[in-house]
Amino acid sequence: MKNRIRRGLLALLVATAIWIPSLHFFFIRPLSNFRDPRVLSPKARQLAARHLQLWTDPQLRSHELARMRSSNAEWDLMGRMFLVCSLGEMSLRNPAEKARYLETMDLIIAETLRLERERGFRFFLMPYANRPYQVQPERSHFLDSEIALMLASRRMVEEKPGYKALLRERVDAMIAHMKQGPIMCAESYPNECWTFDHAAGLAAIRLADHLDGTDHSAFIHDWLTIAQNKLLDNRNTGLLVSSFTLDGEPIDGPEGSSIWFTAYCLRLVDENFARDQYERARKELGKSLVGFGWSREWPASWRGREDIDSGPVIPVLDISAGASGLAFIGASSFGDGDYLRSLAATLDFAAFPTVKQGRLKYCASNQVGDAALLYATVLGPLWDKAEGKP
Amino acid sequence: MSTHFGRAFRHQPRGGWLSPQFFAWRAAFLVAVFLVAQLAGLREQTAFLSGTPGTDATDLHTSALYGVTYIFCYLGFVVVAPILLLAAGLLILWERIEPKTEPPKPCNAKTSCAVESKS
Repeated sequence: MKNRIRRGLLALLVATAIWIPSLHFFFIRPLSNFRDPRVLSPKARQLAARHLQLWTDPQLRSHELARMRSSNAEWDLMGRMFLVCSLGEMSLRNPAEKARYLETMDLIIAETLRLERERGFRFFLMPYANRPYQVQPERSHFLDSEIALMLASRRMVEEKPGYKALLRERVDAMIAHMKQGPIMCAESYPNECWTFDHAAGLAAIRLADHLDGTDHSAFIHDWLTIAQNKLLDNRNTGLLVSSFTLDGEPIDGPEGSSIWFTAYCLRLVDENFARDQYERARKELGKSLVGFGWSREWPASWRGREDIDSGPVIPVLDISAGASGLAFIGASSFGDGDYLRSLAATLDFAAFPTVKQGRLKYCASNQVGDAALLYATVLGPLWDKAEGKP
Repeated sequence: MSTHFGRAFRHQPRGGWLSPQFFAWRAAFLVAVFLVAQLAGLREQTAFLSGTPGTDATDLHTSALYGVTYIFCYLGFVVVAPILLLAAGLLILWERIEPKTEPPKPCNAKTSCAVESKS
């Protein structure tokens, strides 16, 4: 019997040694399945089909948004932003469907502006925004930057009457607000500023300059100088911190749920700095094991507290669903094919994809997560157009 | 009750502990458990990983409970069951190449120790 037990245990050990390193082969796909440089990939089509359904079926949309808003109202706005930007990219990739995409973009933008007007800017913020802001009049840079990015993306595809004035107004408000702060930064929450929002805002300003022939390069340069002097985690990683006070005191250090998208947006204003941030994030946060990739939320040198942005963090490996989802955007934008493939393998293995009638959703994700994934599959043409690339 | 469980653990499974049959039956059990979890719709509850309740009918904590249950069932199906089946296959191969040589059982009143004599 002892002999049989020994054989059994040895067989188990050998089987484990064979299976664990091989498992990813069942989930790894060609990169073109997730992201194609020219056309819409199969994943992009399926994700887009589900999102287009959400915005044409009011009941389904209301249900999905209510589920998300019960956890975090910010995700409602971010989901809209990622989807509008995705549809903008898709319009340039797939001109045959441009009219349909533009219709949905306009529906989302119109409803977002209406909600802001009727319910106030705090409608898209978490409850802790219900305190006085330090800078008056009160505004949230989170809202301004994301709405500006939506308007700019829409106009990059095709001009729409009225949107030029709306974007100009939003850009002017952001810049004025930022100039009021001691370090040229604006609050997203009372005395709380986020690099994610500032990067999105700068990208929107850069797109507005391309569209309207304005030039805010000096302003952008000044902000970048301040950011590199005051907002880097210089002691350890050299990464931009995630959040800070109006005076520039860090609140949260570098985080995966911020830096990947921040680096992506900064590509439009300072390619070298953006690439440096991506490579640092890749080193500190981007991980892979036996063919599966993921992102940590925090670098090894600093550990924050789990919050709504990180989501639950799987211990030992420090896997964050929120950070991993946004890592797709970074990897796609910076052409990191190996990391992107390993992330996509993890997505298929551990995010529980469900396809119904050609519409894909990931059960472990939510609307904003899926919208960010869609964006990662299609981003590129809008930034290229702004930079004058073919 | 504890006697019943004790007896169940002491009872030798068909084929013996860590035998190919032992592994195969346990793999089948894990597959069946996963199918039940899948059919029960627990997959939707994994949305808790994104901080979102799986359905309207559940709050985040309930979603987390169902979601974690599904994840364990899924890992049993995708990771553990194939390992068990591979182990069973390896053992069968091993036994064909090198048959088991078990030491003879000691004689007592219950076992027969008769030795055939060739004449």
